[in-house]
Amino acid sequence: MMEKTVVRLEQVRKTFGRVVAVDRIDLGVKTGEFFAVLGPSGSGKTTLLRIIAGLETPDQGRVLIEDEDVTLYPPYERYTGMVFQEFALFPHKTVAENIIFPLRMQGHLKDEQEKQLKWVLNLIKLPGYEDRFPHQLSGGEKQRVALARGLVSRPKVLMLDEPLANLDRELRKEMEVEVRRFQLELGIPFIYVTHNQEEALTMSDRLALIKDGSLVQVGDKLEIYNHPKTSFAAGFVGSSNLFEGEIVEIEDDAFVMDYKDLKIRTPKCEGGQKGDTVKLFVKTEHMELGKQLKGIENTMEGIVRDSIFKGQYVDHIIELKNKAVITVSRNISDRVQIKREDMVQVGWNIQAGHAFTD
Amino acid sequence: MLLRIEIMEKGEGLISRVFRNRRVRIGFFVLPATAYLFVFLILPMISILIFSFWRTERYVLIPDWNVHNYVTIFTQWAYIKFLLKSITMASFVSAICLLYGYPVAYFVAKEGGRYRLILLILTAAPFFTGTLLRITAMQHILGPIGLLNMFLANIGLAPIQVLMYTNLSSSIGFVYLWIPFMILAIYLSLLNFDFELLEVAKIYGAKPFRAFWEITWPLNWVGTVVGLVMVFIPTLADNATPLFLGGMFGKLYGNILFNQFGESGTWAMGSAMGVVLFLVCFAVIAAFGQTINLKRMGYFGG
Repeated sequence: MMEKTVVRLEQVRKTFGRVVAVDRIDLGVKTGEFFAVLGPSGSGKTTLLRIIAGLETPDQGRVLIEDEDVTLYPPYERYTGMVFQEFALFPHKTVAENIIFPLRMQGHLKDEQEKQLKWVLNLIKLPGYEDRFPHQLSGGEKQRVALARGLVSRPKVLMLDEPLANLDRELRKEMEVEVRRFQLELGIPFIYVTHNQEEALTMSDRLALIKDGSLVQVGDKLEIYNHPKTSFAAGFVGSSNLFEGEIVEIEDDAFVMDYKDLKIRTPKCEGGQKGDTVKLFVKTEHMELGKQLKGIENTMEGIVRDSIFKGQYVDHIIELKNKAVITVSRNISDRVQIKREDMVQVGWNIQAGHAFTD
Repeated sequence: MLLRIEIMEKGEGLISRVFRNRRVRIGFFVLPATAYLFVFLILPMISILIFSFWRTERYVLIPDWNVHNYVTIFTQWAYIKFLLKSITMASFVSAICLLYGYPVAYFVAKEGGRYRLILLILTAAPFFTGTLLRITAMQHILGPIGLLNMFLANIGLAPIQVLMYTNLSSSIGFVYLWIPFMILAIYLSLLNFDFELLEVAKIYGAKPFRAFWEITWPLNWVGTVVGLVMVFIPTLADNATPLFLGGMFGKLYGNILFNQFGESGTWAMGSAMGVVLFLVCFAVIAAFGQTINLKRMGYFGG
């Protein structure tokens, strides 16, 4: 299948009073793509979705859906779908009436409505729920119905605004898989907005990182995970330890940073001068841990203060000699046996870290 | 342990000991309301019901039981005519109040922001004076020597006949009197309405009016019914407005009813007319009640 851009934003900007909610964003979402927009709350993610849906008109820039400039189109002429965090089901309509609402508004015939209703109820695994009212459903069921309403008319794009944030952890895991399944089965492009990086990494193909209304980095999720371009990206995606300090020496292929009296080697980054402050991010799972580490460029000693069991891995909380506390994630099958209050060595190679002077 | 419980019981006053009885507690809260309803609603109703089966002779009520008053009301065209006229007037006024009040309430609830309360109080500003004064004020605007016609005369135009002592001027007066009730009822309902649902409807293809009709209207129907009833009932029973604004041919059921207790002094007939009025009101409320399906209004339960 040819990869076509379904939704395109060109230099889109939106302000509310003095607050710039979305600042000159360029973005393209392709056919059949699961696209996640990841950012902290208040970063402009929701405004971005509302602009695509037509609920907000941008101050500047253009919105194109399937190569048509829809910037000034009202929402009801854009043929999109949206799923909300609070479900936003119509409380006075039954499950069936909620789901066929888009079909009715678009003037589909009764037979067609019935057919699509049956199909989508099977897809979301809620057949037989036609006559229930939203208040008779559990949170997970409500969100399934909301998804069904979003998918039933096969919109050009489905937007999901933190759809799983109101569900408990177990259900969220289950729904992550389901939402991904719907997307793969139907091939409709999804734009999935979330502040939960785990969700974004689990489900999406591509990822846009947004902060204060601007895009920080857009790309393949692994690319962003492994090669963050800014300190924000490095700090927000994945779980990392942050070391911040002054550059005291510049070597051929590394900076030497003074981190609270510990000397740490960081990869070189553009524009770094002696005396500048540098931020170094090292993913917790990229750190080595042992009684005696060999052949590793940065090593330091510390005391194990706690070990937190996380299922497949363990987070060891290590207090370094300079009293700084870092986290090291090790696989549960790791052979090194570590107990609380053990003296250990922590280390990582220079290239495992990401350094920024921004 | 035992000792302490004894002390606690001893320390307890008579009132709190009495109040531990559930029946006493319920009685304390329910009794005043019941007494109020009995004295101010049930008793007058019963007396009117009783009088309606009596007859009046030379301004004196005579207790010989008969249904003559009711026979008169339902066989003489004049009574039926005035009843129908009042029902028509009340329906018309309710409809106008609805058409005019809904947008106002909607605007205040949705766009009012921090001025909501002030805007709402302003809509009810006429309530700061008495009803009679307000109608008189209306008379001074619409009447033959009122502001409107004086202005027209000054610029050399003929007075607007249709606004001088007609049913239309009565209806304008009614709308003026009762529209704050309508606005308030719809406003209070819209306060709890999730306007985001309209955005959802629009995303899924509903044009603005369709979204209103599918979502806003049904979800606020209970409040709308409250508003309609609060306009319909007082209009149906009113006598002052047609008296001041309606003129010779603007008399309504309320005026005829009032006459029975005034000039003609036929209390028994008046009572029967009152009972009929009550039944009509009851029927209207019941009819509206039929349209309310709480499940369909988005309320929980059931």
